[in-house]
Formats: sequence, C-alpha cells, structure tokens
Amino acid sequence: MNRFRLVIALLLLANASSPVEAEHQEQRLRRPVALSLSENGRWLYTANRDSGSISVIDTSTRSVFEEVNIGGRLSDLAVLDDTNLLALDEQNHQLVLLKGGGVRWIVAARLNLAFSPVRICVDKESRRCFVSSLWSRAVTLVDLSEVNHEPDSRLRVAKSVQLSFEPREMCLVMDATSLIVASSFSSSIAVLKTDGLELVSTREIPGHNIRGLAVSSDGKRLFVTQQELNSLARSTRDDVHWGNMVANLLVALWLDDVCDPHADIHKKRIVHYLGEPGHAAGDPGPIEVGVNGELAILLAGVNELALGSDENAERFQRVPVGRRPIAIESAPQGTLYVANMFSDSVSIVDMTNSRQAFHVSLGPVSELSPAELGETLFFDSRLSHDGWMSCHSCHSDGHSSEQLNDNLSDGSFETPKRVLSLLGVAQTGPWAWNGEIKSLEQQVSRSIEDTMQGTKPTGEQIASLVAYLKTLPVPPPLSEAAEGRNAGELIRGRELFQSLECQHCHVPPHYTSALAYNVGLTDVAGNSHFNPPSLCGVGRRKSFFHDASTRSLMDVLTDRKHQLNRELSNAELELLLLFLQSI
Amino acid sequence: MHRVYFWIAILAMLTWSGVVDAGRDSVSTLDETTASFATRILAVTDVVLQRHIDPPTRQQMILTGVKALYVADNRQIPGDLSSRVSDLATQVELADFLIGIRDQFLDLKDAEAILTQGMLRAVPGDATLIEAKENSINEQVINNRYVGTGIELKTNREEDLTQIKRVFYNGPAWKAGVSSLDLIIEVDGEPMISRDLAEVVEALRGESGSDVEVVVRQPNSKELRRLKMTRGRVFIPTVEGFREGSDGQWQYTLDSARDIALLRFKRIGPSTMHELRQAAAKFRRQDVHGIVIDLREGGGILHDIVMVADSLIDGGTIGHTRSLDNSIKHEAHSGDVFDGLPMAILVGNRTSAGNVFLAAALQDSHRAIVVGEPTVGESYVSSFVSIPGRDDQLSLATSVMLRADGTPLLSSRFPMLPLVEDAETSRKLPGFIMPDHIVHHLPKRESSHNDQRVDPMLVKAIEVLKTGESQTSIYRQQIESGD
Repeated sequence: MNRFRLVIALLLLANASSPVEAEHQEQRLRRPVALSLSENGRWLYTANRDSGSISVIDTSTRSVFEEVNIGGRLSDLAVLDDTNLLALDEQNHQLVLLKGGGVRWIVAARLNLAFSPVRICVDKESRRCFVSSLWSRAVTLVDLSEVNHEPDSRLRVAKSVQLSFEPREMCLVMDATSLIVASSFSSSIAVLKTDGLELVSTREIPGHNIRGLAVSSDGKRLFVTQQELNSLARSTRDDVHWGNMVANLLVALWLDDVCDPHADIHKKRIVHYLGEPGHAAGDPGPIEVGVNGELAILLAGVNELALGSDENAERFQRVPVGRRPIAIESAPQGTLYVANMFSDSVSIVDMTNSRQAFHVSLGPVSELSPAELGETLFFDSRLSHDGWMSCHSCHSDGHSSEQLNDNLSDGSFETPKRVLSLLGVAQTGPWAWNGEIKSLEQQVSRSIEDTMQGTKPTGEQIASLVAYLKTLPVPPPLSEAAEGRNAGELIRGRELFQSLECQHCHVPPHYTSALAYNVGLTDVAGNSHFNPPSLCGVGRRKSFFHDASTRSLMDVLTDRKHQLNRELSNAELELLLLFLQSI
Repeated sequence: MHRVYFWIAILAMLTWSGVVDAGRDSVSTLDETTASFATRILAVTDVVLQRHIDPPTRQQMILTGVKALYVADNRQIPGDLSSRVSDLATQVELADFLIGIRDQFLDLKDAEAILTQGMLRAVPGDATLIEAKENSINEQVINNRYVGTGIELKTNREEDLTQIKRVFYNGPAWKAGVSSLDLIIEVDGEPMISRDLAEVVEALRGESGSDVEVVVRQPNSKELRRLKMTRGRVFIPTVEGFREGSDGQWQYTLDSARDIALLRFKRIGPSTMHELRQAAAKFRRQDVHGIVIDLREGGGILHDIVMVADSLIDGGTIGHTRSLDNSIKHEAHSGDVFDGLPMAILVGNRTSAGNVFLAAALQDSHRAIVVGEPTVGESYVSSFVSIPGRDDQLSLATSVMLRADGTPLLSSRFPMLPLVEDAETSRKLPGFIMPDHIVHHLPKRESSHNDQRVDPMLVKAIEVLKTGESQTSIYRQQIESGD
C-alpha cells in the first residue's frame, strides 16, 4: 500500500510544472464545454471537448496554470472533493476519475458506461453521482462511496434506468431525494427517486431544447430554460421580429407539482420571455440561482450572460461574454465563471462592481477547418434576424426538435411541417419535405435568409456550414443501445420490410430515395408529393409524417397503414418494429 | 364622323411612334391607352371572380361601376343600361362596351377611378384598391415597421400650420424632445406655413437612419426649438390601456378599480402578442384580478387574429375559415398568456370581422363574458391580392368564418354561400355574436369639455368581473379539474 502511494506521489511530482507560459502552450482546438471550481475556490477546471484535456485556471492570477491531457472527447466534469475530479468521456463512453489536487491530476480509474454519456450530476453528501447517456436513453447511478483520499478508488455502477427519451440536463431536488432529468430534444421531463433510481413519472411540457435546470432560492420552483416554436406563426419578418415564431424562455414550474406524479405540471407554470424585439436572446442555456433570488442565465446563441432576479424575471442586464457560453458556475463570493465553447476561453464576471467580463484564454487556437468553422456558425443565433434563433434552435444539436415550423421550405405558408433531422443529411438528398432542394448549399442559404430572416450568408459561411453538416453521422439506431438483439428476428423483420415493398421508397442503406411520392397524404395547401425521409434512427422518433400527426411507429403501421395493402398480424408487427428500431 | 378621323389620327400617331401592337387580337381597338383601360378594368373583375369567396357576376360589377360614372357626372342613367350590360358575354363585347363608356366620359375627371370604385361597391365585403406606394407604407405601418418619426399630425387652421397631435412613446420624435401640440414651423430649413398636411408628411418622410431637422414651437409660446430627429422604426402600440401617462406609457389598470385592467385593442397586428405578454408580466406584479378587452374597434388580418386567440385561450378549437380552396380548423395550443384571469370583452355594432371571430372564440371557450351590443359587422376574411398587369393590389373577401361548432359568422351581404355542410346543431344564431349582457352606448350628445364620457359597457364589464360571473367560473373549474 505504502509503495503504491509512493509511486503515485512520485508520478505526481514528475508531472509538476510551473505555470504554463502562453508561448509554451500547445496550439490546438480546445472547445471548453464544462467547468467546475475546486472546493477552496482557488482553481477552476474546464473540460475541453476537442482536445480531450482539462485546463487548470488559477482564479487569483486569472490565467491558465496547467493543462492535463486525458484523451477522448470530454462532455462534462465535476469536482468531487479536493483530491478527486470526475470527467465524462463521450468518445470512449467512460467516467474518468482523476486523483491529485490543485494543479496536479492523473487518471486513476475509468468506468465503462452506457454509451454517449453527456452530463454528470454529483451528490457530494451521499458520495454518488448520476450520469445521463444521450443515445442510450439511460441514466446511471454510480456509487462513489469507495472513492476517497486513498490512491486506490473504485467506481461502481450501482444502477441504470431506461427512459423513453434522450436525456441531457439533470437537477437534484428536494434534498437530493429526487432527480429531475430533461430531454435533449423535445421537452420531456422525467422524475426519478434517487434511492434505487426509480422512475416516478415522465411528462411533456410545451417546447424543446431544455438546456438549463435550477431550483429557485426559496426552493418552491423549478426553473427551466428552453425554447418554443409556435406552429401557428410563420417564418415571415414580422413573426420572427416580434418573437412569435421562436420564443426563448425561462419557465418556472411548481416543484411540488413536478415531483408529484398525479399533479398537473402545467397549472402553475409561469413563462418569462427572454429577449425582446430588436435584441433577442437566442438559445438560452444553463442558469445559476443566487441565495437571494439572483438569476444568471447564459444566452449561448448571442454570446451574452443575462443577469436579473427572481422578482422581476422580465428585465435582465445583458453582459457580453465569449462565443457560445455554455457552462457557468458561481463562486461563494458571487463571482461568475463562464466557459465559452467557441472562443476557447473562460469569462470571469465580477458581480459586485461593474459586472464587466474578464476573459481568460485557454491557449492559442489552431486554424479552424471549414467544418470547425461551420460548427461555430450552426450554433450562432446572430445569423438570424436580431438573434432570435440559430440552426440549432430547430435542428437541436444537428438532430431535430421534432416541433412543427411553418416556413417556405415546402413552398407554402399555412402548412407547418415537422422539423427534419440533419444527422446524416449529407447522404440523404434531395432535401426539404418535397425533395425540391437539390443542393445542401441551397437549403442552407434559404434557411438562413427565409426561415431565420437573417442577412444573406457569404459563400464561405455556406461552405463551412455544409462542411459541418457533412460531419454529422446518422443517429445510432435505438436497439443498438438497448440490450438483447435477436439476430434471427431481425433477419425476418428485414425480410418482411422487403416483401412489403417498403424498400421501394425507403432504399437501404439510408432508407430514402431521390423522388417524391404520393402516399395518400396531403397538406393544407394541397401538396401531396413528399420525398421519403430517411428511416435511419426512426425508432427514436416521437412523431411521424410531415404534420407530426402520427405519434408512434405502431400507429404508422396500424392506424395509418402506411403503404400497406393488407393488415399485419401482431407477430408481423413486432418483427417489423424490431427491424425498424435497429436501423 | 369626327370620331373616325380622331381614331385614324391616333392610329397614325401611334403607329408612327411604334406603340400600337399590331399582333394583338383579343381586344378590338386601335388605341393603346384605351385598350389598356379595358384590360385594366377587366383585370380587376377577373381577380374578383377568381379569388372572392362569394363574387357577384362580372356584369353586376360593371353595371354598378357605370352607374357610378353617370351619377358622378350628374347625368341620368339610361333606362336600357341594365339590359345592355347583362347582354355582354364575350371578352370582346365587354372590352368594346368599356371603351364605349370611356368615350362617353372623356371629360370626367378621374373617370377610371370612379368606375373602379363603383364596381367594387358591388362586391360583398369591403373590396378596396390599394395604391402601390401606399401598399408598402401601409404594410409597414400595419406591421409596426414603419420607418418615420413617430408622430401623429393634424391641421391647425388658426395658426395655418401643421400641428403634432401625438408623439409616440420612445419613437424618434419622442427621443428628440418633440412634444404634443408642437406646431411645425420648418422642416430641414423649409418653412411649413400654409402647407398642406400631406406636404408636411412628405417632407418628414425619409430613409431609416437619416436625419431630419425641425423647428417647432408650442401654441402659446414664442420660443422656437430646433430639434434633430433620426428616422427609425416607429412602434405604434396596437393595444392601448386606460390612460396614457405623462411619460407616454400606458396605464392599464382603471383609476376606479386598481385591480382591473383595460386593454383596448386599437387593432391586431404581429406585435400584439408581444404587447400582451408584456402586459401580462405587469399584471402579475400589480396583482390584477380581472381584465376587460375592448373589441369594439379595429381588427386585423386572420393570421394575427388566430395567434392572439391562441395566446388567450388554453387549448381547444378557435374556429374555422373556409375559402374557395379549402376549409381550415384553427386550434389553440395549451397555455393562456393571462393565466386564466377572469375576462370580459366589449363588443358593439362596429366590431369588425376579425374581432367577431376572436370574440366568438372567447365566448365559446368560456374564456370571457361578452358585454355590449349584438355585432353586425362583416364577418369575412380579406386578403391582399395582386392584379395582373397592375401595380396596385385589391383587398377583398377571400374566406368566410365559422365558430368552433360550425355556426357561420356570415352577414347578409353574402347571399350565395350555403351554410356549412356539416355543422353540428348550433344553439347560436348565424351571423353575429349575442352578448351575454346586452348594454347599449349612451345616445350621442354633444361631447362635454370633460373627455371622460361614461361608458356603460365598461361599467357593466367591471361589475361582471367583480361579482365573478358563472361563465368565468366554468372556465376556472375547467382549469382546476384539469380539463
């Protein structure tokens, strides 16, 4: 035991270094997506997604002291105590435990988790943490009771639960007896009992893109930052200008009602509209609540921090920070730390005085490839009129919010249509519901000008966005994530898909084709020819067809009997569904 | 005989100048201007026939238009006019007839305009011609994007100057320090004395961001003030309150009942939802317990009306609209901007189509109690329609409206339209709204020097809200039981 400790100590010493000089820092793309303060407040740690490293910032000198390389693609991090740091690697699907302290950290253990872990929520008192895994639709409870100040520590998966949606943000409430989990795409909210990770309820609230959860200072309300698309509004200059089409919201739900599975979550729901005509607040994100009701909300799309208070949640002071601020933490004395994903920097906002932001660069940035530049544009609300929305606002993280939007991509107004996913979009042309758009460049340009009511994008901007879209892979099929695939049944399901001639329009490997077909559906304007959307990831969808009218795959096959000339037996339906969930 | 020489002369002139298009065959005329006259008139009738939900016949339109010409010129309408018009069948006959008419009224000023306006009077609903330039300004004003200085003007005959009736809060003039009742002496160095209101408006008009300098003075003062305004977007609220404060902002709560708010819908536009959200936030802080919405004036386009109805009603059907092409059911999303606060609405005999649709939706969903007079407004939906070959547009009735249960909201000026095919048994009389409490305006008498005239409808609405009426409580019960 002692020898082991000595080895660790030697290793740590070997890693010792003086503060990193800017010239000696490596030129790389970091993209900080999370941050956490050390317990004594002296050190700020950022999780850098693209460089797979953790930057250590000295809060007294306000500069980077050290950068710890751990590899992979980091999605979140959290300080457990002064010698233990937890990070999430979404590339290797692991929870990483680092041991050390202050500026010195080494990887001590890695725990395999359900794939695509994106968010960690630590319960320090009970020595446990919760991890949400996006594409697995899972929440995992990890036991940290054996993680202490000794060098040997064990991470242990205590329990894992399946949800009916792709989870992201989480919030511990009611003295950590309950865990609130929000969907990444449309607005489902699940409540779990933390002991035993028991699922209590799953409910929908209007809207989508929940990116912030916090409890009010009086403990009575749950704040949710999100967006909402009004399908009655159109993508005209007026409806966009007055905030009728896209709304950026701070919603306050009554916490008791949220936690009570029999209560009506909508009854005491209060909606606060963020931003205003002329100065919108695109893509609201994480929210920090102060002890006296102070509110700090990150507006990721417009590169600002909104400061206000509980009492008057209609007036916010807007402080400019870096590009795409998506993580925030407050120090006990009130200083706010903000991670700016696309500036590779951290903003420090002093709450006592002028509230101006001080920017700390994480290091020199390498030159951006077109796709990397495209990513910054995809999440930038300033591409739209007055900053109301970014591409992400409707195409959440490149996927789909599954909401309805009435725009001119289908050639008409008054015909709102389900927002299409952009995952794998490069391989599934032609584009738009009617298949009329023959180039991605054309669709991107039209979306920015016509739907987002922004100024005409430059050729470079379009090329960058297209380059970024080309990097988006198709969503992982639903059943790849779930346990127990039966190979024999899948083969029979595929055979059924073929014998029913679904393949005629939904041609593998992307399960789409180039023409537009009349499948007995018409929209209000009389458009009846639709380009078959790709069925990749169809098992995950909550709504189907251009008008989102059908709410389950089962209904597509039974209620709608979509392109079926006969009734299917229950056995056949099961096989077909199993197959569809596997693509 | 002279006529023939006249036409030959014209033909000669035009052929020589290359204007006549020898290839044209459908309209038998030698004169380009007159040909286009007939085409222009017929284009209007074409559009009406194609797009109006319940159009009159072409002959009816032409007859009414021609009669208007005779009346305007103080001439007796020929007895056979009606039969001559109804005999017109082909394009050629129509065109020739119109040309003939034009000839008869060559000396009448604005003959084409009189004819067109007359024709439009035969069209059910308010069909109007919108000039091209007016178009763009109209559209911008309507949608609150008008670039200007943000003032309302009137003529002050005593002083022979244009006077500012009103300065819009936070607009360019307001920011420059212009006050209401200011007389406009000069605009950009040019004296404005004895100038027409239209000329002053024109002088003040300009591009967004450009400056204009005015010299103004208050009526009883000699002090001249030189102010510079930067033209910008002017926001004219579509929703007014009870009283305008000295700072230009609206006070919504009533002086006599500080827990009741009054929202006067001057009109409904794309900014209305935004204004309602802001008001709702204010009401939460001010502890408002009841809302009165005044729908006696104004109106708006269907799209905006549906969005306002959606924001006021927590789910359910708003109503239906039926056009030539299709029938649309308008549904409200869940969520109510005023969180179920008791509501009363005021309607009258001048409540317009759009407001009737909104009022019906609020009444049928039990969201609000209706106070006032039965409405007899026109209940159709207009749209702006382009006229081929012309710069201007036509605003005409392209859809009719139906309540949530299918009862039509048609007025008697739409005789052709059958009632909706599959309306459920309706308890309501088709055509208008019957208020829950009938209250009439006071008889018109000379307005007193005190602007505060008693509004009996408002008084009743306040009473209804304070006593917590049955319909409102049905709504609240629905909320409480989670229906």
